[in-house]
Amino acid sequence: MKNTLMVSAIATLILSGCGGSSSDSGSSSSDTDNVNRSAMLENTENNSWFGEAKLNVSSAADYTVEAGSAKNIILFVGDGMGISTVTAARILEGQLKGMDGEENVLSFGKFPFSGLAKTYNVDAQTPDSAGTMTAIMSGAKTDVGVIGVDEDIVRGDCSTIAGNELMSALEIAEIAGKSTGVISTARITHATPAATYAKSADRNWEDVSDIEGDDDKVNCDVNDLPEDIASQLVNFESNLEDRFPGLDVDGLEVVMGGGRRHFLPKDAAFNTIDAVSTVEGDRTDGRDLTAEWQSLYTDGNYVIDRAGFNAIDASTAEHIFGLFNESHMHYEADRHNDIAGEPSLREMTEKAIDVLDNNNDGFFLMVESGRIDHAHHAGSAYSALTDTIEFAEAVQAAVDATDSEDTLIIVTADHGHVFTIAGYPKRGNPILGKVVNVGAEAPALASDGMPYTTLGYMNGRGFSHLGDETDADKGYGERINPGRHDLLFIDTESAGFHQEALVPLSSETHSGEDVGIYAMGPGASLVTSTNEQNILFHIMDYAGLLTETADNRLQ
Amino acid sequence: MIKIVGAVVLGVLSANVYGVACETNPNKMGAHYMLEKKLHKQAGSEALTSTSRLALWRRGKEVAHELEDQQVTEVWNLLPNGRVRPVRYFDEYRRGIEYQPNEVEGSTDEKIWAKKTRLITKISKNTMKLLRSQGDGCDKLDYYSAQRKGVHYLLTWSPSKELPVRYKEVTQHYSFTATLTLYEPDESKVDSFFTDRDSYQTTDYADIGDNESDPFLLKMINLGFVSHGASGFYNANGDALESASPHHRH
Repeated sequence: MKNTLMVSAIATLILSGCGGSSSDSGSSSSDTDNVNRSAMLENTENNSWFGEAKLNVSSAADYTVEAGSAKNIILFVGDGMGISTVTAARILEGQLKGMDGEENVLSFGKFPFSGLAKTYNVDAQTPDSAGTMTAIMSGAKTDVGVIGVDEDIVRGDCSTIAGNELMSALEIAEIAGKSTGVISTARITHATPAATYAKSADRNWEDVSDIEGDDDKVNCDVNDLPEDIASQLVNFESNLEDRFPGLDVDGLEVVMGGGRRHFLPKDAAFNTIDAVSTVEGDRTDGRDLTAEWQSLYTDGNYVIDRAGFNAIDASTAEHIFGLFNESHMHYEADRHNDIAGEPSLREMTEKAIDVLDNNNDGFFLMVESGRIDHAHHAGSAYSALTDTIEFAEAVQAAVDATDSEDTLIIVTADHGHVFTIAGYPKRGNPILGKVVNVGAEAPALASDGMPYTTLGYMNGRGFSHLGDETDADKGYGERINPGRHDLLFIDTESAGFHQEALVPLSSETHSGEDVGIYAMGPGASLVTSTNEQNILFHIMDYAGLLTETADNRLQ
Repeated sequence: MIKIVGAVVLGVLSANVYGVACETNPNKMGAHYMLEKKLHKQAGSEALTSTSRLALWRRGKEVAHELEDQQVTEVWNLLPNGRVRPVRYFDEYRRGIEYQPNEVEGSTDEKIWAKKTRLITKISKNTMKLLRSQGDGCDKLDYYSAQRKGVHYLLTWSPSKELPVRYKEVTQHYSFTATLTLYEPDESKVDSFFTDRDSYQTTDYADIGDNESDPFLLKMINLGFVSHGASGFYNANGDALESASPHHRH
């Protein structure tokens, strides 16, 4: 049986205010507290995914992990950063440092504990970011394409949202009194970041126009549509307080990413200098959510470019809302092409920690490298790997800026890609290059008489050669070009080279294999073996004593 | 404002028609073209003629190419940094794909904006020989010609509208002709055209791979037609002219 966390919380308030039900029923304040606690976790605790994973973590005594020993929790998610991506990025980073490459170790490769996560969604063998990140953040696996709701949801069915919402670790941390932050190089309303703060029957309902324009939605009252993801972000504080009467939180301290279009009205008068569309905003309800945020957080810093970002004094800043692009932020290799300038993922991470660590009760921060996934979809290993290297640098920045005695850092991916490291290249062979066998100097030839690259894709757009182009998405302007090509005179190490692919598809796909989990700090020893992906919530919850602290605060 | 929608076909143009149309804003207009490509009969192949329609729409820093037969519209907007950003609309589905600047071939080329808005660049036009001019002021038409590498180019240009009224290139094997058939000066219709496209549901190209459950996007993933719109005939200099035949560029 399943209850609705939010509805239950509201029902609690109504009941307590009806005819002195408290005295009639003989309930005490602690009974009310119990109801609150029950309300907060009943839906998630009764979920079978949640229960099984929680049971695993309950054996934590065997690992000498003290519950609540992690004051701070930082979750890094490399979107689409499968094992092969980590390996290839590790080698590329090493080769860029002048090493052979294979012996190199990425920042999170040095973490003392690691394990594997099974990524499938409840209804999908190969998952998407919405279902996987919901599992990571809320402790329960769910369906593909939905955000912050359990598997009983019907995607696109407005009537199935209520009653199926799940609490996220970030929300619980907020209730527990920690500072909270979300960072992504994708749109901040994109699936992965959205799963930290939103509940939606469809990952694409990023603003109200997306819901209105979704012809596949069902059981939706056009006069009372569900709250879109962007609105939920700006209303995060009030929504959370509404769900738990009496709760007083201070909202997300740090929000940085792309996706400005979902926060602005569809009116050219609201265009920023950084706009790439004639009308930058998409919202059809006339709301300017950036203005609403600034009115809610008069002490806050709303910034849209690198100059504004640099001007923020992290020692005094209370709230940061950075929307650095109309849509996704740039690939790291292409960041110099942004009109108004963007900070890097490492810079955003450093700034966020500088702000969040002003709270003595600790913080919860989620950092996503969102464009590793996009680069793979475009068939560009170069961009996927250079974004992964920047991601690793952001992780190192977090390690350097925190104390391993009180900060749990977890690095993982939501899913992998059909990206392979193949052939028998000799030690130190350029990872982006053609296979040169051990003892050889010239590229090895396949049975078709042509050289081949170490890196490749099982499916996707296939070969294209765009010289020094650093925008991986430019490959979408080229024709789909699957199969083998003569690479003898092609510089496969250049930024604009897109690897060969076997099965022709307009966009390369996710893969279904396990992804790595890497952890350091209090609670890190819980990361081991092969796990259902939703265990990550429970590790963070246990190490940070999030739920118990939140319960106490609600009382 | 005087609004006239006239059939304007090169060779039968009257100066009066142009005299009135000239009062419209060349930066906010529509122009419909008939594109015809003829493959001459050769050994082993029969003569072949194909036609298609292209509408050019201008509105300030937006320009659109409506490929009417394919029900595809490409809209390009000029950014402050001089780049152009394309959005490709699939009119049949009322859906659109948004690209970032750089994502479509040629979008970083500074000349691309001129090519899209004028169909033939000044550079291309200026390399041709001006044969004669006819009419005055708004009625003026310039007739150009060029012969290069076995290709004979003919262009009739309206300076006031900044539009080709007729463009033709002929080789031993084929001929290509673009003819202005309808000029649309009604600014409200121009607004309506752009506003309608702007109301379509759009998706970032980078997001297609994460939306394979969307039937429209799934179709694009499988067929790959999204990235290959046809185009106008903006190159008279042998550097990127598209065929008139209704195929997708691959």
